[in-house]
Amino acid sequence: MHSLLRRTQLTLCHLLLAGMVLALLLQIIGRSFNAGMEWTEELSRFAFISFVFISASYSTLMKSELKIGVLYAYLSRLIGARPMERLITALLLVFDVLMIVYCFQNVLDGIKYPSVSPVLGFNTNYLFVVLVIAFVLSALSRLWAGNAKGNAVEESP
Amino acid sequence: MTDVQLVLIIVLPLLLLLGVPIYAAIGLTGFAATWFLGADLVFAAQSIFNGVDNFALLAIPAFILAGNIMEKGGLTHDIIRIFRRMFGHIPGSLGIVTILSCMFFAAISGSGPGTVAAIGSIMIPSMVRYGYPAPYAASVTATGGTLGILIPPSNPMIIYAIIANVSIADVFAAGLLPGLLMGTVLVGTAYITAKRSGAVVSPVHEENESESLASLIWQAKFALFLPVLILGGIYSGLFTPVEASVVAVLYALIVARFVYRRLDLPALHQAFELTHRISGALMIVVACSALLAKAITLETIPQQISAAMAGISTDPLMILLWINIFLILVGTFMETMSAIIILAPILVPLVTAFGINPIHFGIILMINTQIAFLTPPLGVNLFVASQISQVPVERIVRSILPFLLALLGVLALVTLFPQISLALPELLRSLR
Repeated sequence: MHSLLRRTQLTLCHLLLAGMVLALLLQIIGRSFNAGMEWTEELSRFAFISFVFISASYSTLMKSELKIGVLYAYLSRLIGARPMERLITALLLVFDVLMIVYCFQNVLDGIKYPSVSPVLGFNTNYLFVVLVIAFVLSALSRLWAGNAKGNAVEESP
Repeated sequence: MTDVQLVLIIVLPLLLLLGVPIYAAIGLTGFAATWFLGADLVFAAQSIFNGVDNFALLAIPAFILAGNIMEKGGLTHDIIRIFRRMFGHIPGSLGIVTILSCMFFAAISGSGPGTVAAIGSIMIPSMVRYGYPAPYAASVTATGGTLGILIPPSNPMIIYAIIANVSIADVFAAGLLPGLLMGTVLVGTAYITAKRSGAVVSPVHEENESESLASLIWQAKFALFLPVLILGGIYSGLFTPVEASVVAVLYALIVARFVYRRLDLPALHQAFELTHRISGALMIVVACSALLAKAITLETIPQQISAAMAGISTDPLMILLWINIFLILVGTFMETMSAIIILAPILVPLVTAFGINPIHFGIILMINTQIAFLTPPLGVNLFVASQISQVPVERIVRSILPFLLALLGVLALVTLFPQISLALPELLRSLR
């Protein structure tokens, strides 16, 4: 399961990041030749938004999330690491479920009241489907990531 | 105090300190605040989505990818060779070489810990081999890595510019002079510290010692051109910062694959994989912070803090002094990007209310986050340097004190003299 999740997330991330970069390169080329390529900006933005949430689920699987946890070590010693882990996992699952439910609600709202992008004519509420998928993947990652090697990064670029 | 304020003051710090990943701590607090505000929770999910629906943010994963590709492509080694050739004849020079290499690498990668990992993996073993104390080697590398925040392109600067609603190009330009000043001060500190610690060893004679400086520069010409391409492209108006980031990716790909011939498919896969992990961990925090920022704004928290600060002093310098002390304290336990994301929406309206230029304040914030990289218990560069050098963090902390003092000195200068930050953006604006 872990391997399948990892491969799925990696493939999606590769495609979305490469798509975003390619669309932006096309934008530069198009502008240099005065070719109307306004759609590239929207496409790159949509690819980026999707990439953010799918790559976040990949970070979850790889246990690379940013965290502080000054009290974590102390409380782990006091009440044990396992109860602490379970508490944090429960909180994270609550957040995943909240996001899944309310992002799905946004998709449904988008069917009734579409928010259409100016160039591609795409209903941007449908992008919330990606968020639903990403947070389902995150939840699955939490439940099945027990075998993943912890790789927490406490700092960003 | 309202329910929302209680949630922000109690729930958020509690979740963060418990070790809940920062994005979820911010997100859960945001959902709770939205609920107490009586708004539909659909609004919370929308705010998180809108948090990354910002075109300027596209530059961040692209710069991270470009840095990863260049590192896999062998750029780092070439840069270090040049600085070693330039300064290797000075006894105790490897600290200087490390700082200068970090400065240059920072101008490509925009990453603090990334710079420490890239330069440290080569320079720390090299310094130890030449008789430098390992804690010195680790501390000089950890400090050099902090320059990544201040020298453009810098990902924390992009995020700050978006939050503060100022031009990314202006913030980049504002960081250049303080970055060079910081680099110079750190070079001096590295040399003096090496001398005082008795670590001054004989000059370095390594591979390619016979090669002239001109020859080494010529060999590394493609690597050296990248910062010129990125910054030159932005300031000449050829590219926007977002476009510059993807041009950097394309350039890095071409140079690493066809010039250095070190980037094969597995290496490219690794560069992408690392980018996903770093970007994923970072950008979701940015997304969730938009929800928190809305709750903070709706509760008029910045205005309330402004009013409270005005009761203490109305002198902008005193306000900046208090903010610096606050940021240094916060920086000891909060990681860099989260500190910017969480605190900038509160502090920017506060400082502008006191007539402080938000670009100047951005640079002050960046230097404070540089210091946070080196201050325990959460000083990430210390951890990375400790991993590479196998020196315990507590031993690195002792030898890092002179560098911390140097950083504090530059912070004081930049706070007192806004022109150090503002001269270059003003000059560039007048030329446009």
